[in-house]
Amino acid sequence: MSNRNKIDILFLLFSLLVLLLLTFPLFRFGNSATPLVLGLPFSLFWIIFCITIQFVGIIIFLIYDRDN
Amino acid sequence: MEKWHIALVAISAYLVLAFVIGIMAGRGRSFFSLSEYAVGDRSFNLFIMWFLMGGTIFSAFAFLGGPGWAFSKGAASFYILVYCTLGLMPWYVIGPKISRIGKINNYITMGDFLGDRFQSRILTILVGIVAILAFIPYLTLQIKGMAYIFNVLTYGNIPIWLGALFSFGIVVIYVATSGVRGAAWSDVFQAILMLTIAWVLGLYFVNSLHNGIGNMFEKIVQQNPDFLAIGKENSLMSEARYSSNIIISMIGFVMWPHLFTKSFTTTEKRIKTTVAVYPIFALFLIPVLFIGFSGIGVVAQNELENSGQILPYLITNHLTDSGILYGVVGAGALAAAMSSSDAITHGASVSFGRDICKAINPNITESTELWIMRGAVFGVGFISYFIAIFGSDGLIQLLLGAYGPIAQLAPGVYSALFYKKANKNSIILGLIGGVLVTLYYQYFSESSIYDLHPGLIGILVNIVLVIIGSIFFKQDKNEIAKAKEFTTI
Repeated sequence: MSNRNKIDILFLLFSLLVLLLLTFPLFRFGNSATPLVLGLPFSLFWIIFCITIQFVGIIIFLIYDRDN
Repeated sequence: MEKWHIALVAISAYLVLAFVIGIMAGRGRSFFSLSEYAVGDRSFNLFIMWFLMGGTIFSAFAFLGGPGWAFSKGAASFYILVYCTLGLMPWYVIGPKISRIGKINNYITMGDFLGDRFQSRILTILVGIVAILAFIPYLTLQIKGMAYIFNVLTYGNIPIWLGALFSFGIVVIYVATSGVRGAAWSDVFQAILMLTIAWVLGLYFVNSLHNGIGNMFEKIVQQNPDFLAIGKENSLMSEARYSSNIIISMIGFVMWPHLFTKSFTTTEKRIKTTVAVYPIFALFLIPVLFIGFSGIGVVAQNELENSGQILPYLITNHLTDSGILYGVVGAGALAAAMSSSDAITHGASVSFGRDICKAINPNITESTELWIMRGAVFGVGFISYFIAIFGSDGLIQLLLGAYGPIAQLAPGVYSALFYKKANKNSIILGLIGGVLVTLYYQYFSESSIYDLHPGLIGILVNIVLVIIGSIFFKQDKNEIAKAKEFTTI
């Protein structure tokens, strides 16, 4: 398997992980109005948290990609 | 001077600026180059790409519908946030491949890409038809949004037909003259404007009506905690529908032909970087939802005809001090609608010229093709305007169903790149089967299986048909060569 394909597959797995965190059943962990975090309902906080993970994750992929 | 006069002046100033930027974008570029009109000579940088993708997606729906959902459906509106972030992720993998092969073979549309891979003109034409059928209702909705904003903010002094004609007329002209570059540069301006306004408005309403975000959500929680969760007893959306909505958006997002073809406007590296910085755009959406939440407890649900009116209602009833602010808000909402409609109008014109006209008669010259596209901007524009102004609500609802099937293009695109054995018959079969199943569950069936999104059921049928078809039918010599080229790119 080429290096390119390996990165692609890793990226798909990463996308899947973010998707799973944001859909049911795993979203049940985040799916609650309380506690309020930073004034936001926990469900919204969870989503913003996942988006942040996604953002950082893709940046890491990008840097890794450049090095190769 | 009355307040609506000031609002009208502010909106007009915005429109003039958007128009000038759209027209200027095309200056110094060849007016007679098809590649420049369709894909900006494949030269867009990261800055433009980010605003182009963001502005295109952040439509009238986000500005009017987003707050409406938050106001009436609560946590279900978070779905908008999630699909915006996840939607672009697959592009990181497929975008660079599509860009590379597009450059080698000179593609400018999705029809080019699929038609050449599977060696089938019928497939190209099918893709063109699906695209245009989905574009027109989408456009109709944007035009209605523009007209509505214009009408409300001028207290009914500018009639619906005129407001739409002004704002959409400008879009049509700068797209026809400057092509995709006109859409891109005006999107930069429009996106900056609408994001700024979304934040100012969101924070303003939250603070003036509720004394801060924490207070606002505390009040909502005390009233009904399930409102801010999914699939609970008093929630307004089931777990299955929420999840399948997100999944189908993730599959279907980049399949929108006007987004798909953006792979051809830039380089591989910039596609990846665009995907990386894109989640920031989704975070910018949050205050739009705050606007809707701030209406809870302030506006009674039955005061509005439909929930999409919450933003205009708040503006006209709780933001009445300054005419300028008022006009600027109008400009922001118009910007959201216009930055989507320019990309869609452009996409429809290119699809019509390349996927339909050129596929039916391959002998037309490049210059004729370009003029067909410019003409199609006016044609598609006119049809959408006509439906938006004179079509009944029922008709528009019916037409909106046309963009359910967009996600059905996904199995074809992914097979093109990853499934060597896929052939034209299997893809066409899957596409038709998937579209029919989706439409059945959308219009004719009483309920969906497990409350799943109809498009997701369509996709499953589609995939099964593609696999069975690929085993059953054989590829001819040309198809085998193309399959090798595409899957090894």
